[in-house]
Amino acid sequence: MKRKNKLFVEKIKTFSEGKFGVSVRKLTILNEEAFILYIQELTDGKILSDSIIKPILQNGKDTMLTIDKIFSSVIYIDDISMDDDENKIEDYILKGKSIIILSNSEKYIIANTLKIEKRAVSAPQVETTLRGPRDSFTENMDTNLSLIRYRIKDPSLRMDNFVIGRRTKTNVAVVYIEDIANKKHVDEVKKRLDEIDIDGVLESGYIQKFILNNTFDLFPQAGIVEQSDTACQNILEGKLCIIVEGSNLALVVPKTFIEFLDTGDDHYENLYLAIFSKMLRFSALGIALTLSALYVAVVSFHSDILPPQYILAIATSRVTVPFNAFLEVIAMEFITEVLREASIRLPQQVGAAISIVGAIVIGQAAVAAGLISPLMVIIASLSMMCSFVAADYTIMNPIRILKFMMIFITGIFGIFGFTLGFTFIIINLCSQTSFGIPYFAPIAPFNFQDLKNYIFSDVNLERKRPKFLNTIDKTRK
Amino acid sequence: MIRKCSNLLIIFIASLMLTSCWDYGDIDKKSMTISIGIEQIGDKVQFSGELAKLTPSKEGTEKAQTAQIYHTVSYGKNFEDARIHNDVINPFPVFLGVTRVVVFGTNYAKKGIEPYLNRIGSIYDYRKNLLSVVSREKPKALLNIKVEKDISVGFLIENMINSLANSGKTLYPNIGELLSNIALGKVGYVIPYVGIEHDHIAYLGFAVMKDSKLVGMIDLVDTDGVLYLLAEKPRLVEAIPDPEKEENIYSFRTVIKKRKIKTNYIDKKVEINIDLDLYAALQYQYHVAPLSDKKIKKLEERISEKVKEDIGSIIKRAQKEFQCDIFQFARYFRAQHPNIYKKIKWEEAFKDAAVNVTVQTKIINKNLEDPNAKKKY
Repeated sequence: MKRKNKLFVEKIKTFSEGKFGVSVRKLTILNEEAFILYIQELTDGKILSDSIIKPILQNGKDTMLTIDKIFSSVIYIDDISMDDDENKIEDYILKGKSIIILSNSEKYIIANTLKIEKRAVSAPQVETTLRGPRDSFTENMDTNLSLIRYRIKDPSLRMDNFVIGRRTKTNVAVVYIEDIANKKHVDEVKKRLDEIDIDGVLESGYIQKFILNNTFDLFPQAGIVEQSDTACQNILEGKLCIIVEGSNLALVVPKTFIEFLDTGDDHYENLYLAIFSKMLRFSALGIALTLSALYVAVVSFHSDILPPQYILAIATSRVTVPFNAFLEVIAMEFITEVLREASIRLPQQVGAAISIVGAIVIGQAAVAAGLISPLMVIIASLSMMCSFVAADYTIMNPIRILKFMMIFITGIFGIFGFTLGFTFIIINLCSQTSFGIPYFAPIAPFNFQDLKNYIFSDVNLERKRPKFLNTIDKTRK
Repeated sequence: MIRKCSNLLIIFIASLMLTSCWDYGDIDKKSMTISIGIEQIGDKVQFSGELAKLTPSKEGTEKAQTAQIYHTVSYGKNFEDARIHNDVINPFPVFLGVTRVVVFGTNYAKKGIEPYLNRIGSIYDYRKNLLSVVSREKPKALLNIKVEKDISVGFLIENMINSLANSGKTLYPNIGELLSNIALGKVGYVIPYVGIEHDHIAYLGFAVMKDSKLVGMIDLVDTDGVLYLLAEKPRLVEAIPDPEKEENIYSFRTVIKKRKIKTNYIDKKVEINIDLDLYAALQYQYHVAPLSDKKIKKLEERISEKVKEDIGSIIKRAQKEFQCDIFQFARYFRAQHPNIYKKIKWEEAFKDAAVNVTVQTKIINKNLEDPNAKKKY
């Protein structure tokens, strides 16, 4: 027996003990022995028996089989390769491959018989749309890559693969178009991915955290994307899409603040509707952040800024409320946040119950009991509704937290505190970067052309790619 | 890092000490004063207040409850004294941010309203676009009238004057403008004059203020001349009888196309030249009759004459009866002849000023119903 064979046999023995969950199928071909190693849970049994075992047994009835012959003319698997490194056997098996070892050969065959339980491509759950296509990403990486490849049939489309996670060995792909995307961004993303050293990656959120500039940054620097068309749109713009095995949400980098408020619909719908929707979303973001704080400022500090009739209306609405405005706002915002959290966590069947309870408790009972003013209910509901307008919900998470910061600082300092808080937020936004790109671009630094293209969101008018991305191919049209 | 933090700390501490929660006070925990009346009673100042009574909406009703009203009266030998007496009768701190109107009683107005205007102008609590009016009746009586047309007397007066001013039928001088006139020194001004007519609060005309003291009134029917000169966009109705048939009256609505006031100083005498270009739109005739070009021309002349007379008579009244420049012609003169303005005594010069009024009217909408008219307008 050759030296390599001894090593293989040792491996087979180790696996046969069953500690690794590896199944060993022994075949006898004339006087030779063949071993097939695989993990049952990861292997498609039908492919294994029909495309590997059956042809080997049939062909080996009366002729001697060599490993090269099996490789080239016996088994029916499309994705096969050959190797001779006994140390890699374990890795291959864990990745769902089947290993074919012949007792007289120094090489072995790796056949891809991987079977993954995957769900079908379905409509987006997180990034819902009216006009856009419904084929959203799934947890299966191959499906996700195929969705992109099927939309962009460009030979320059690159899908660079990484394996991250010492134990999970999760596949991560960086997708971009080579002659569009800025090389600096590509290198930076690859560098940051290479530097990740962790035992496991379970969701794209892990990767997002690792590629952040600073763990304590509040605003997200990578966008999430669920719709394949939005991912392709970003790739065409010159961005990079990071697809993580096992996650139905891909990441898009670099991403600026205002791009979080952009949706696929804007690009597909009428120009005027796009402008209107953008304005609407920006106002909603402003309302979500400031309305409750402004209520505190107006009611408790600077009532004079409203016309007299408004002041009287507010005062009349608050007359039975035992709390001061600050506590009232905090209580109400707390309740709405609890409702939101509950509605996300609760099973679908009882989800409706929460909305009924919420509507009755807050909308009616609290007002009827005189604990909350009707105006406060309007403000809290409006503020909550406004926090759902962004297509990428991750941008609204910091807004929700900052809303409370604004309420606190306004409760202490009045309108001065409001201005102070707002200024801090703007400073923070202006001083951040996303992979070297100013986070507030194209507003600061200002670029009229980019801003115009962003607001119009019309492919017909968008002749150039965003200047701040500094793409290789700068023109779209 | 430490330096950065210390800067932040300084900002926060300074903010905390200068602004912050010391000023915190919910709006429903304030006594909201909607209108204030000031009158001189003997040697004391009387403050009458009209305050919003905040009551929750009635049980079982979905409709929001409008604010109800209660009244307060306080006296003092000066404003500060009266204010203290006012503060001690209210459940919450007095809030003047909702104050719509300040009503001066005639006694107080005769004594001079400047001190109170200065108080409004300088104290942070008041809105600076507050309306001030002079009341024929005592403010306390005026504010106590039961109003059904509006939330309260204050709202009623403010809304009334505001809507009239918007339609060019009166002036809405705010405190800032009055203080600016006072600062100019040599001019008078007019403020709306209100009173109770047949149990209703009504706008009666203008109160004429000289040195911020009440010196006379201009009746509602005589206010046209003032409005042609001072209102931003006067829109007045002129009823002109037919030149040939007196019983037929033409009702016109006039608007100013151009108003030009030029001053001169000739032979040590001030000359004020007022040029008015008017558009008059015929609204209707009492008896429909065809209009000829000749008649239109005549009507234009009649309107011009009428307006000229209105303006002339009110200026004459200002010169002779009130003896003060209530139209603030001084501003034009000062701008056009700054050196002479410094040398002369405007109060005296105005009394003897020669005033030339030229009015040109163009009837723009003839509202013709005559099918046989030769010319289409």
